[in-house]
Formats: sequence, C-alpha cells, structure tokens
Amino acid sequence: MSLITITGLTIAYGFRDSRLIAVNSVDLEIGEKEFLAVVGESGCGKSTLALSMIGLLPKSVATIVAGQIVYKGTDLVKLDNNELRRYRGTEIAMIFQEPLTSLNPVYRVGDQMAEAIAIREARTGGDEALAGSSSVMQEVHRSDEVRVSRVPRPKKRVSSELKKEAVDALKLVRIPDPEQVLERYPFELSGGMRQRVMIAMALSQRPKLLVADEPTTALDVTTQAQVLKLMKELMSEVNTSILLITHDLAVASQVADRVVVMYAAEVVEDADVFALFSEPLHPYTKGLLSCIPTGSKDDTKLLPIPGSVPDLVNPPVGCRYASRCPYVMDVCRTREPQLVEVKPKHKVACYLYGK
Amino acid sequence: MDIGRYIARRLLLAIFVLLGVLVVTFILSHSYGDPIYAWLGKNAALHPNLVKLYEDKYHLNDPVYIQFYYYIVGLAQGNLGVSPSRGFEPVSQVIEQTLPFTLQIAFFAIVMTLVMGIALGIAASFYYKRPVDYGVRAFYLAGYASPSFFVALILLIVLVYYLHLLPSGEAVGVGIFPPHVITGIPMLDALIQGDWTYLGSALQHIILPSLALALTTFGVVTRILRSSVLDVMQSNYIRTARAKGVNERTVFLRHGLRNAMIPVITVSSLIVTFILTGTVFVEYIFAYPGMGQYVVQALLGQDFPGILACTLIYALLIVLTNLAADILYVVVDPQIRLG
Repeated sequence: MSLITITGLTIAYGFRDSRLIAVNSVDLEIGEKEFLAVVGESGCGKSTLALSMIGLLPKSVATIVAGQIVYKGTDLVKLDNNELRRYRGTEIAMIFQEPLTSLNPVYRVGDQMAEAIAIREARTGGDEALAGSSSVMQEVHRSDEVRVSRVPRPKKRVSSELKKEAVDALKLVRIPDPEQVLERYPFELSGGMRQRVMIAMALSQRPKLLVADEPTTALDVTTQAQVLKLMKELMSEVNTSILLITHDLAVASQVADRVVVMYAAEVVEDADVFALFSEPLHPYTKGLLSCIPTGSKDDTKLLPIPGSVPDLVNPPVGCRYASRCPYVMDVCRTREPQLVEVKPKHKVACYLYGK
Repeated sequence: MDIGRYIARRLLLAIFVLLGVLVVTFILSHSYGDPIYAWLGKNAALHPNLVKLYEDKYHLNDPVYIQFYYYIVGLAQGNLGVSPSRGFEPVSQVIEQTLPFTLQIAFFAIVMTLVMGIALGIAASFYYKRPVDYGVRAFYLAGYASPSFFVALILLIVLVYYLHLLPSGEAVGVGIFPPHVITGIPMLDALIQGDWTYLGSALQHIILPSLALALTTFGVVTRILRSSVLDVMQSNYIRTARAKGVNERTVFLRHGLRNAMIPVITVSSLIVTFILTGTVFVEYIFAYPGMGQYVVQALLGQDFPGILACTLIYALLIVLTNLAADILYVVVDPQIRLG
C-alpha cells in the first residue's frame, strides 16, 4: 500500500523574465516502510521535489503548477501553509544536505530536540497550540533555573521526560554519551554527529516518511557510509519510509529498495534496486553506471556522458536526453516518451522499449 | 575565561585607552590661543598682576609636558582641577551637577532608539517589499540623513510651537523641587522615593531631547536588523525549524530573531557613541542642564580642566559600553567566548 502518491507534479520557478520548470509532470509512489532513492544530477529537480512534499518550497519564486501529492488520502498541494504545517515533522520529516548549518547555532542540541518532541507530544495529545505558540523551550528552562544559577555549566536544562526521550533518540542513532551531547551546542559537534542529531531529531517525531535530501553529501566517505548504514537499520526499527535524494548512484545502491532516476526535471526510470543495477534500461541510467569507478583492473577508463544537461528554461522538444543519447532515433526528437511499465515494477521513459 | 577576570583585564586595558585620550586632548587643547584672556576677560588687560598670579597658579608658562605632569598628579589624587569657565568652581562639582542629566538623556535616547529601531526593523522585514517596508525605509533614511539639531528644531516647531504638547526646554518644570539625592540621578531618585510630581514633569521634559536623538539614530538599528532578519530567515536552521512543524510565529521569534539580534548588538555600541555626541547639541537646543552644555562652555572658554574631564567621562562611557556589548555577545551567541 502506498503512503504517498505523487501524480503529474509540475513545479515552476519564476524569475524576473524567465520561467523554469524544475519538476515536470513527475509521478512517484512511496510505499509504507519502503526505502526509495531518487537519483539525478545537480539541477534535475530532485531537491525541489523533496521540498514540495513538506511545503517548504521558497514561496517567492516556486509554484506548484499542476499535479497532486496525496498523502494518506489528503492532497497536500491543496493545503495552506498552516494546515500543511501539521504534517511537517510528525507525518513527513526532512533532513538536509548541510548538517553544519541545519541546526540553530544559539540553542543547545537538547533544547532543539526537546522542541521537536514537544511538538509531537502536543499533536498526539491533541493540544497543538501548546507546542506551537507557547514557549516550550523557555518553560523547559524555567523549571531548572534555580538549580542552574550557580553552576557554571548547567548540567540539566531539559525537563526530565523530554530529556529522557531525547537521550533515547540519540541512542537510536548510536551517539555515544547522549546525555553529554544534549548539553552541547551544534558547533561543538562534528559534521557526522550533527547529521546524526538531525536524524535523531527527525525520528523523535516518529514520522511516517523521512525525506533525506543528500544527507551524506557534506560528510567524508567513512562517515557517509556510517550514516547510510544507520538510516537503513533505523528504517525497520522505527517503522518509517525513507525517501533518499542523492546524486550518487553508489549511495542509492547501498541502501535503497527502489530507485527512481531523474533527468532534466523528469523521471526517466523507476525500478527495483537490483533490476536497475543488473539491467538498466534507460540510456541515461546506463551512462550513469558507466561513470562509477568499480575499482577493478579494467576500470582504467571511466566513460563520461557526452554533452550537457539541456536548458530547463527552454527545454528541447521530444526526449530531453536525445542530444546525449547514443541510441537516439528520429522519434526521440519529435515526441516526448512516456514513463511506461515495460517489465513488472520496472518503468522507463524511452522509445527503445515499445511506445 | 572567567567573567570576573575578563572584566578586570578589560578595565585595566581601559586605563591605557583613557591615558591615550588624555594625552591627545591635553596637547590639542593646549596648542592654541592664550587661555588667560579667555579666563579673565577684560580684567586681563587691566590687571597685569592678576595675569601673573593666575599664570603662576595654573603653571600656564611651563612647557606642556610639565603642565601635563601637574594635571596627572592632581588626577591621581582625584582632583580634576577647577573650571575657569564656571568661575573657577571645582570641575568635579560641575560634573556632579551636570553628568546625571546627560546620563538621563542618553538613557532615554538609547531606549527609544532600540525600541523604535527593533520594532520598525521587525516590521520592515516582516512586510518585506510591501508598503510598510517602503514606508519604514523612507522614514529611517530621512531620520538617519538629518543631523540631530535639525530634527530637534523641527520637533520644537511642530510639537511645542504649533501643538503646545510639550515643554520647550529645561529638565523639569518651574517650581518643582528635585528629590533628595540618593543615586545623584534626579529621575532615578524621584522614582525610588515615589516623587511622581518630579518624575512626571521630568519625563515630559526629556521626551523631546531624547526623541530628537533617537530619530536620527534608530535607522541604523532598523537597517541592520531588517537585513539581518531577512538573511537569517533564509538560513538552513530556519528551514529545519519549519520542517519540524514549528509554527511561523515561533520560527520567527525563537529561531530567527535571536540570531538576527547579534549584529544589532554591534551597532548598538556604536550608537551609544553617536548619542553621547548628540547630547551636546540637543542639550544646547533644549536648554537641558547636562554635561553637553558644559562641554560647549568649556571649549569656548579654553577651560582645559573642563574639556579634559568631559572627554575622559565620554571616553569612559564608551569603553564601558563596548565592554557591555562584548559581554552581551557571549550571552546571545554561544559560539563567542570571552577572551
């Protein structure tokens, strides 16, 4: 059963005198407890797609032109900002590419986590006004102020219940010495630690879907592997689906159940991870795979894809990959191929496979 | 670093700053004219003996560095000298009488500047590129571009001359006696003793001079805060807060504003300097009996002890403000450490 179904989603960025379609009639489905990876180059619209799912597109420039994002029977596109906010965090949570700047620099990790947990508790308790408007953080502090005043570095600033839950969340993401980390400011933690905190904070709200936008891009390779492994393990532990946005096919192959490949604002291939890597169909996917160094001896030459991504302000007629495609046919330059299921659970948008 | 030690070290450094200020002011104020004529007026020409007497008493014929030596020795004993422009009244006495009034104006001007500056800064960033924003920007530019004496005159003409809303000058109404001295700052003393007659009248009298100053300086705060808020609200941690489901008001107040206030602290310490300078003009225009008036008098009368004492006090106030700003940084931004 699918958790979220996106159909015909089209998102445009309007600038002073030009309009750019960043996401062009994209169909996407994420099942419950599924680990889906969306792979594509920079600028292919994958982050825009991710942001649209929790209504965090930059309102001044981006608009959803068409399509639906149906989450549990509700079309999120139709909701206003305030209604949408109730889905953020507890239903659909998101973590970002920049762990270094994604946490508020002036609040302790514990306070920021407590805020997230308090929002969840208020929502499940049916009293959201409490978490939203009143100052949870301040209240959390006040209870301990008397004790704190003499100690140079306050040991306890988060009320005990929220703190216990924050500690549990940090333990979940394998952070050693979680009590201590709660008292730290973000700048006192390493990049990998901060991303773990972000993941812990997101999961502490018990979302049904975690959208991770390039969560490991800013991290070094060993940390990247740890974080990915962690996300994969956590998925089953906390019963959530994960949508991983990445530019790195190798990353997707390590963790995802299913992979969606995007090219120039469109989905070109959608397949089970094994099918995609053993038998890629779309020429772009094939091209991407031949760009990955495998480490074997005959790996002396990587084969880059010739040409460059088309201009999205004036997209070409027909298939957007046509100008770079080694198998290009006449039909490719005149009509745009549709995403069709050519094998069971394997969709591709290419004339090489039927229509 | 321990906060007590930090403050002690900064104050120790301040002594050298003040000494530097003193040397420069001393040399500059002694580098022109013959003070004896300014001091004694017509008497100087008529009574050569008197001139001789004063020249000897105040070492006017000694080289500057000898005179400086005498001044420093006096200062070390807590003696600021006497003020020729005030009939040779001890400088410390004049300062005691006038400084509290300047502090009153400066305090109200700073409060008004911050209140107006922050409120309008928030409004402008909240209504970014909407009429409120344009209005605020025009308003602060107009204020910022006008000198305080000009604003003071406009206020006088509109609020006093035409509308008769406020008194035109002095610190308090005629016939109202000052409260008993506790802190030495009349309005504070009145507040402590519950002397509402004095306080009410003093408040009426202080609005115009401090408003004249605030109108010319609040723009700095508004401008910095506006751009700082706009900048902060674009940042990744604001996006994170929204992604957590925090409501927009809390996102702004809790996550945005605190970070956006950091540059405001920087400019606030500069504003204090502006305002202290400005008090000289507005006190003169509104006949407010503060130190600013004394400064003008001392400058015109080549009253070295007066000039030096006032300069020292201004310098001290500015040093203290900067210290306060540096400590405030640490409170607001945990990434900054004392040291």
